[in-house]
Amino acid sequence: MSNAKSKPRFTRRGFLKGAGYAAAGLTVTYLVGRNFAPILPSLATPEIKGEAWITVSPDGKVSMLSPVHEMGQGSSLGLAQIVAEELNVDIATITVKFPSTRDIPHMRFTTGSEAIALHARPVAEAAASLREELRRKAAVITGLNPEALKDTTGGFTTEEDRYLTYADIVGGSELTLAEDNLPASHAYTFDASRKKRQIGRTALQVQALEIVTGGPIFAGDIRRPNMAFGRAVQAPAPDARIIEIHDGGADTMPGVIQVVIDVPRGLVGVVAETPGALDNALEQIEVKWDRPGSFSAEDIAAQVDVDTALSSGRLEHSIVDDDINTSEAWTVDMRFDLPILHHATQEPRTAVAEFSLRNGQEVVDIWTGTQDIFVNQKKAAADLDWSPDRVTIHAMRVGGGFGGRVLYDVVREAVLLAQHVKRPVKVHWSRRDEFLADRTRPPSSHRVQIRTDTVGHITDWRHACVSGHVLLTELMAPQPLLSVMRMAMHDFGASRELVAPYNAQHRRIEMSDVELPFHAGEWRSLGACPNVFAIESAIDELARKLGKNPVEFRLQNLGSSRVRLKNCLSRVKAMCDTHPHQSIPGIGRGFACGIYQEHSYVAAAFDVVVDYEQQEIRAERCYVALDVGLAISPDQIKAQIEGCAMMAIGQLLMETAPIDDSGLASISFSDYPTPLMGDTPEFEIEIIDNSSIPPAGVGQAPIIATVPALANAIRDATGYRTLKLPVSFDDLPIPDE
Amino acid sequence: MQLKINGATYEVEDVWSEETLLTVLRERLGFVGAKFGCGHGDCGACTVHVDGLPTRSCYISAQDVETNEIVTIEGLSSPQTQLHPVQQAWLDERVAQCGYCQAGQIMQAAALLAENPAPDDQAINEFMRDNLCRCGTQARVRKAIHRAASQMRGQS
Repeated sequence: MSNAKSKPRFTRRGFLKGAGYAAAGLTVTYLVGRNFAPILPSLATPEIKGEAWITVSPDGKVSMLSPVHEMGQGSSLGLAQIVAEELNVDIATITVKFPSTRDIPHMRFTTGSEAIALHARPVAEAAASLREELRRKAAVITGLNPEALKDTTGGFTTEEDRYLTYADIVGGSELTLAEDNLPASHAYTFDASRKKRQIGRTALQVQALEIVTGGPIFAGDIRRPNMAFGRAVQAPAPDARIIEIHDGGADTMPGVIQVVIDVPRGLVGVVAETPGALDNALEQIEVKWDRPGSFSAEDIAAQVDVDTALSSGRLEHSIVDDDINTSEAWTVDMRFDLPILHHATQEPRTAVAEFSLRNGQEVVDIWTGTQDIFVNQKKAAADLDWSPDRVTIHAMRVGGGFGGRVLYDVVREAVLLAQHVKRPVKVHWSRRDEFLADRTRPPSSHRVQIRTDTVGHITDWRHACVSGHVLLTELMAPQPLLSVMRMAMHDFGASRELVAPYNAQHRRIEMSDVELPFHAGEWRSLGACPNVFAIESAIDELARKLGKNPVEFRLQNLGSSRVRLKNCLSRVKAMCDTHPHQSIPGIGRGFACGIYQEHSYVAAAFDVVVDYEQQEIRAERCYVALDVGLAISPDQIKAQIEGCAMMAIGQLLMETAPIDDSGLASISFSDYPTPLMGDTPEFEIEIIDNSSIPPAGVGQAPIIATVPALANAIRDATGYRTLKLPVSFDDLPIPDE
Repeated sequence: MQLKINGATYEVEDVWSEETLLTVLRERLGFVGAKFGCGHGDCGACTVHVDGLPTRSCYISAQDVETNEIVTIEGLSSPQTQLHPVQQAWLDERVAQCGYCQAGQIMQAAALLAENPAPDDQAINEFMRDNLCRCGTQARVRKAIHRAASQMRGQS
């Protein structure tokens, strides 16, 4: 055994030691997006570098910091599978850790289904560099050429069958690779000719064991010495201002530590010794808000009424503006209305904040589940008037995201309350607050008009849409800058996938975005889900009107460049064909398809049964074909598809956020029903093997097809076209008998 | 106040006596497996066993169960086995997505199998009805329950 020893190289990443992470072993950086934009949100730009780490410890074990937050989408597992592939180790032996803001200088916010799409290559290349560095060191030990060392599980083998493990190679030494000195590497992940061993296999989710045994992985599971419990009063509307507060004697109630009224920073809250004392005290507090007048559900519907908007001419923003013929009759002319939706994640927002002294300086540590640790760090620092390096955010697992965990909200409350009472404080939102302060999917309405020629080719396509804001919200900028942005551009979240993939000679695609009197924001797939719902419902109706098979008609009108989408549709059709289908009243099958963010292709079908005796609509079977290029974790991809199918059932049959004259009105889950165990269909899912194409996003794409597929199945079963969501049994026509 | 949890007795100070069982388990005693989801017993994330019955711990007072045997997910498996068959089935079917509701789902499922060793889909739908999961893991929950049931029948 050689005693060759690497000399430690100290780089600017020396602080890793301070974080107690790379105490020994071999660590490598990889390049992910980085940016120094002032506060909102943490976006990557391709030309700027950031970093995260993969380490081989002295015992040869591989661990990594996840460069993405985990909220059940499974991308931390996918990235670990890439590392396992590159380093020739079993995925089950890799430890995945979630970093704090002290462990890494930057991390992009985890959103838009981009975790794998953006990080697969840098992670693969970094891991490949690490592998080649290990090979180089093994060559030094054996006195052989690196090329003479063959990849073997957990190490290398010489031509004489001498096996060197990674433990042998790192030999207790410590080494940090600088990113300007990485050995040339070849990422196995993107080598289409290579048979994959870790990529593409079924593996256990990151933290699966903790989940089934109750291990502390969520923010609420954190307990600190002398911790108190706090909660703030939630503002009922964007920009609502407090005008009057009555504390109702809460201050002197048993267990209450302090009623906090922080006028400069706009916070009213309570801190107590126990959660129950906190609840009792909060019930006594009355806050009067300065806010726009009351409104009704009808007012909101009128605000997003596309026909009213069109009656005064063009909509505010033109997306595609061909010269279309508006004087002749349309082949189909349909209006769709989609309601307000809640995220309704199982975990209410939670954060724990603790102030302490570090090297004589006051600092704060915060544990929370968020899709963006760095925006929370910077905003908390701004609230404290501190430099960001004094604020540490510890990323905890997120108990459901779906776009609803991107903002600075609960962290702010925990930090300010902890600062006031000078004790660690846990803030755990109530279910009511979760609904009240949810950044909902805004309602939208759509007018879709299509005209075909005599052989069924589309000549004119018009889609006009009015929606609340999705991305042009507090996420992007504070007021008054936000108002300027709203005037200058259209909401590019609400307009997502508004342009249909079908060929049309002339198109007019336009939208207006309106300011709503309650919170709205990012919801799984943003505007794509409502927009594709309108598109796929209209094309389905058009096929029926022309007496065409809905799948054949779609294939006919998708251009020759839509090969991958057509393949998905054909695959779903083939899956359906294995389950013969009777077209009789009460039984239906519907199809839909779509392209999400250019690179994710999906087609879906549902079989439904309308049970006239039980008076219910049942989704019996769901078929999905998805092509996202290289499928790194097929089982996790299937899980995302299953989730998108369940959410389709929710959207079609039950979900609509109630509002009353003061705003969002849900108090408990019973006010916002979501699918239950008995609503679950059978699944047939095909992940199309397209391993030569880099991986695209998975978490949102399926939902753009599952929702309209279910509506089209109901149409097939009953003749009823769902124009307004959700649909109930009572909306359906009674069949003649 | 004393509580019997997972076979051991815990002394709890009076300041906690008005709190819910969930709060005492999580915040005072550190059994954080059961989760707060709604505070109204609607979602099932807080499910534990009280004298063997699945119980919403967010909706009962700790002092009301002073004389009862409480089992949380931390105490679900027997001391001899690392995992209860339901927990193992959850791993085998890779049920969890975000994972927040799963401890409650597992406790509810274990109670179902204690009562009915061979539930059909209908029985599972009924018994698991009020355990919400927003990620949409229901199909896998059902598969895992069938898997655990068959495993447990094989053992007995």
